[in-house]
Amino acid sequence: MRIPFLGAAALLLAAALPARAAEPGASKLSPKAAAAVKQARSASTANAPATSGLKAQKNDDGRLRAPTKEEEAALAAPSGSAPVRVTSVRVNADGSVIATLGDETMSDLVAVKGTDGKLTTGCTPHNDSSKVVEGTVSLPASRTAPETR
Amino acid sequence: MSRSFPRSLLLALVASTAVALSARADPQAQVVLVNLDGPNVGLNDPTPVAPVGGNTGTTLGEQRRNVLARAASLWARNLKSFAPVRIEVTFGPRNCNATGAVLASTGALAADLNFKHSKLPDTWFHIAVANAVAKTDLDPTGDDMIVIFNINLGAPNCLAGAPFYLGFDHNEGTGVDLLATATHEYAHGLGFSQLGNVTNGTLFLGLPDTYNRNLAHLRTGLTWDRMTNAQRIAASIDTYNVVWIGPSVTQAVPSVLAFGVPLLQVTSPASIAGSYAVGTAIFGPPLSSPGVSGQVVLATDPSDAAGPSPTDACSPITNAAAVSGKIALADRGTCGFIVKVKNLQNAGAIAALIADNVAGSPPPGLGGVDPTIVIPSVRISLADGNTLKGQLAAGVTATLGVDLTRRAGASAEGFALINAPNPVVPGSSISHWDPIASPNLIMEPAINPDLTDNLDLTKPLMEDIGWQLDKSQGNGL
Repeated sequence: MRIPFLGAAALLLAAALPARAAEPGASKLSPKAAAAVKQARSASTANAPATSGLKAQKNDDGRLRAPTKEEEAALAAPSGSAPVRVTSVRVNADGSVIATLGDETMSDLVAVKGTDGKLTTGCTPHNDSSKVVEGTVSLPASRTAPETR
Repeated sequence: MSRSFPRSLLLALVASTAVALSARADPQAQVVLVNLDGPNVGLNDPTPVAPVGGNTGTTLGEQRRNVLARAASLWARNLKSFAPVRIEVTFGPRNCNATGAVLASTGALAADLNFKHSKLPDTWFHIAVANAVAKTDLDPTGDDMIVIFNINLGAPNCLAGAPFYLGFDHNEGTGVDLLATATHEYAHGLGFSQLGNVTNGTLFLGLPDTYNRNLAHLRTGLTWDRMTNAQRIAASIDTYNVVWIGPSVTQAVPSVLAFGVPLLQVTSPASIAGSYAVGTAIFGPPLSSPGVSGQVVLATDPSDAAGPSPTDACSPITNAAAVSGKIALADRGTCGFIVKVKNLQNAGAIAALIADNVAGSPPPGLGGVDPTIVIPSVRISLADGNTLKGQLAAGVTATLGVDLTRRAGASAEGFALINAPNPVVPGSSISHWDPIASPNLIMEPAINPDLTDNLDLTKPLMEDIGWQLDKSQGNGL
């Protein structure tokens, strides 16, 4: 997975880490892109998982740094469950923006077996697919296996 | 954080044909599958298996890898890019039970904005197509998409009897065609999906993506990126009025979609004259051209144990004299569709219209099996049923058949239709072709059993969102 489990690397700190360094490309952002970045970061803060203390992530060279939102989410995930990906953005030096996409942009392809044994398939948002599997939300009837009544 | 992956996890380099490149020619894309599975599980499962459908892998893991590599090859042969397309693949636990299962989860891992060579300012691109447009890997430490397939599919209490079919010949029987599933999921990650929210109409972080810029709403004449949130919400449920206006797809429509749109054409009274969408039956004769014409008559039957409504046609029809020789109208509910249509047929009807009893569009089809049914039948929406009923006293005449002047899956203007059911279906609405398309397309919301390796309209869509295509490869493998 691209989101590693961080338990061993994460340390609790007693003091806050320095704030994010100024991004060299920030001055090159278009106004709309700047607004998108601001929106992403405010949403990321609002959706950040609850934590019991300050955390840090260890770089490959052993130095400590502030964890990313993704890493915080991974740390907060219940033991044994898949980490939750959250959307975050990075501004590059040329003013371009890269958004690491969260789970809310994933989709699930779901199959449901009808009373006649035929499968109906359809795409659902990743975060809602359990409702379809459990039958609380129906997939639209397909042309190949339409409802019989 | 880093999106890097150990090189040792690389599963396969697909379609890495060595091409001597000029400074301007983009090479055939490389699609790299990044195997996330550990030893002896999923893609590395050592369980011996017999060859199936052209897949000669000798272990379950090898056969799975072969299928995923074949789907990757399908895309690699048809797309051009200087940067490799890196797809993380894994077989893992997904939500499932005896009657339902997540087959696969997928998504792009990143999107880029205002990168080098992008001609669309302030527009998001899925990272794989962004890399192709930029002619470089914009984030070489990261992968482009992830696909997680259900490792338990077909096991007891996980759609038992419907495992992934691992052949290449799309002969899945009661199983699930892994090749078509992977091809579909890869397409989403390559850019066949909008990043915005179809439920509240918002764009991703307030800005459109390259997919949005090719979507248009016929009634307002607006493209997706120029609408308000409220307009996008309304358009998302305006069935048959959301279209793809990208030039590559539009040019390909005549060579992909077949003529023949099933519909009900009301000819009188003038106040309701026009075309009405229908859901076709899988029993009885198919609709034809010029079709069946006649007066529409509401059939009545007793309110009894078979069906409480006097218009549900669950019992023998009581106004057979009025129905005979006419197009009969009845309501959905209580009994099966084949019971209703058979009762209408026994009353002498020449065709049957079953009005839905729940709101929504387009009207789904009619299911059931009865080889003794010989009249055509369709479902119409609840709203359209009420429209017809409101004019029956004045006399409604109609033709039920196939419009051979229009292509199934295209608007009257010739644009490919985008899925826009009412009510909205998040995850399905807008990010797929409309399921009325014929022949079936790989990026309809459902994985239909008649799919092949043909990339149909989906390949030109990739060009519309920014990919360069290798057009020497035909439209598939």
